Amino acid sequence: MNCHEFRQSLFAYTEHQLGDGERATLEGHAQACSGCGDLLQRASELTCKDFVAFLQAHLDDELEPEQARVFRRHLEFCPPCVDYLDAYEKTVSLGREVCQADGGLPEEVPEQLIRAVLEAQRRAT
Amino acid sequence: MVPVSPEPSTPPVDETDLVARLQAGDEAAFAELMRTYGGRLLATARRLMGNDADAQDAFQDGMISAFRSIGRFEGQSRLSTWLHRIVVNAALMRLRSARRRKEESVEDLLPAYTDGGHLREYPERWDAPADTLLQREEVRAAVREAIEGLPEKYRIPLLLRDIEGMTTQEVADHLDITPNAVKIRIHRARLALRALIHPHVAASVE
Ligand SMILES: [Zn+2]
Ligand SMILES: [Zn+2]
Repeated sequence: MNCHEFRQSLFAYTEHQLGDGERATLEGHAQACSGCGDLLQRASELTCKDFVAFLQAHLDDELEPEQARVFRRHLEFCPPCVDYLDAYEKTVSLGREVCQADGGLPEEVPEQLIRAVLEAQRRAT
Repeated sequence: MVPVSPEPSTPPVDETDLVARLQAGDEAAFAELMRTYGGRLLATARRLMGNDADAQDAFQDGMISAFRSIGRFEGQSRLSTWLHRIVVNAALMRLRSARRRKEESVEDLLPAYTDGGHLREYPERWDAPADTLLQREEVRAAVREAIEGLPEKYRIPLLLRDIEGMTTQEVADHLDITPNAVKIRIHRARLALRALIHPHVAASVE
């Protein structure tokens, strides 16, 4: 197995789709080749599913040091998750900005409403 | 609590004086309170309630309860912060007692994974920066609609934390659920929003 073949098979490996022989070959290559060994390590230590579950804690700066480390390492090797993180962050800021622009401007309370509240207050006492 | 919405750094009126008049039961002071602080409070109520009529009712509940409990306001927090909390509570009370709409699930909007934990779909990137996206009316409309369409269970924690600027703990206290449940709901709300906004953002790339 060469590095190209390794990368081709890595996905199937993480999906448990390889037969025993193929798996042993892949693991053997990872042991002999430090670059591919690193890839295998990254693929095994954090799945994309784990990554997505970490997003909120990442944004809140609440990941444990070890979690933050594997989070960064995953990000370095998984393009879909890079894009997912980007979209997640943009979703948060779009929501914030749109809501604030819509409702954040100091608006006038209609005089009619103020009168209604005063009246309700009088009735209630 | 530090609301995200900009607050004037100095009170627009003499808070101490206003509070004293309110505590004396002065009705004119009550009207002044609503004129001075009401705008932001009404906006908060509208975001939570989703429409003007319910927002006005929640605003009214909140204002009356503030007027009644002003004796307990001790000036440890800003008056605006204190009022904000009261109006949020009034809105939540109304939401709780309202006939519950069927709680739809956001399950379909959450990302799907393969058995090995890979994202099942690899959608297009959101190339444009958030600032650029915000200039597109289509995107703004989609975001607004997506938030309004979220089931209440997810919409309220999201609004309280991301928009009203509460901490996770404060949201948990208001909703009487655990901080962890707050986090899970907000995370799911964001994932669902991402999926709902996605077609508009991807389509708006020039
Ligand atoms: Zn190799
Ligand atoms: Zn990934």
